[in-house]
Amino acid sequence: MVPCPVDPGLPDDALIALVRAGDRSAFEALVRRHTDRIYALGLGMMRDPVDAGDVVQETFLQAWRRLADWRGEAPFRAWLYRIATNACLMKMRTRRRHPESPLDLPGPDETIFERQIPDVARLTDERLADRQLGDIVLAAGDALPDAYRAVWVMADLEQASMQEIAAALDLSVANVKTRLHRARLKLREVLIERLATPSDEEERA
Amino acid sequence: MSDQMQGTMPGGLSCRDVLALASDFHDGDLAPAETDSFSRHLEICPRCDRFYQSFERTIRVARGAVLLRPSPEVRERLVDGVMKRLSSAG
Repeated sequence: MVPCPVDPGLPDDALIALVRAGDRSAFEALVRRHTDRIYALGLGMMRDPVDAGDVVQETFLQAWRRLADWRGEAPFRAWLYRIATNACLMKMRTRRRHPESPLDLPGPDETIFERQIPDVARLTDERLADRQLGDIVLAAGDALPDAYRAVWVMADLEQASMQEIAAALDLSVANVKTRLHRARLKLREVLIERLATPSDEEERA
Repeated sequence: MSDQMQGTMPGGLSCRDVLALASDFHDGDLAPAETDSFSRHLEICPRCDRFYQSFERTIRVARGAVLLRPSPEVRERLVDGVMKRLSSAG
């Protein structure tokens, strides 16, 4: 591979200025810098490396075409994240793998409280290494509707800021927090269903 | 956490409040007084404490799931793929 002739340590806005001046290798430096994060978002959302690769390609092609739209009000990385999130959601919608119904939060008449609270099953069982449990958690994320999965992947897997997630999904920060909380409760529930041990069942009985 | 516990409101919070506020507590979004109430509730109410432990572990494990980065080879392939498509797109 031919090394980038530009200084890859330049900040994003300086690289973008070079791209606008016609330096394509500056765009390559941006792609190289941000690929990991976009790939991670794609893999967390789609759970398929081929799809994650498609998300990377789609995101950077769109960013290239729409670079004139980036005016520097938000960090380039947040702008890119927004494009990537939309690419993921579009792909997921096409695939129609996930239910679209919203998740419940406990209210006076809702059953989620009963499902969550009397449950004495533990996830403190250390027999499962966290890495192994990580695989199970990712698979459990399939139980989430797309809009909740997107928030959860960004917040808990990628640890993006609430502001960045809100901007990527065009939601308020409060709405992001609500969705994240519901997603976590649902995941905990799914994990308990999948990991409950005989002693948990006895204790529950 | 149990019905009788809900009546006694340990820490000034009901068990339903604990369920609703668990993320805010975890993420440091509660006011100091609410944080104290939440912690006191967990000290007094074993079921909520157990609920919160598993809730917290669900988050911790997700955050530790460092499975998502591409290998250096995959990264190079992706970067090359993007740049080739840009070239062919003109």
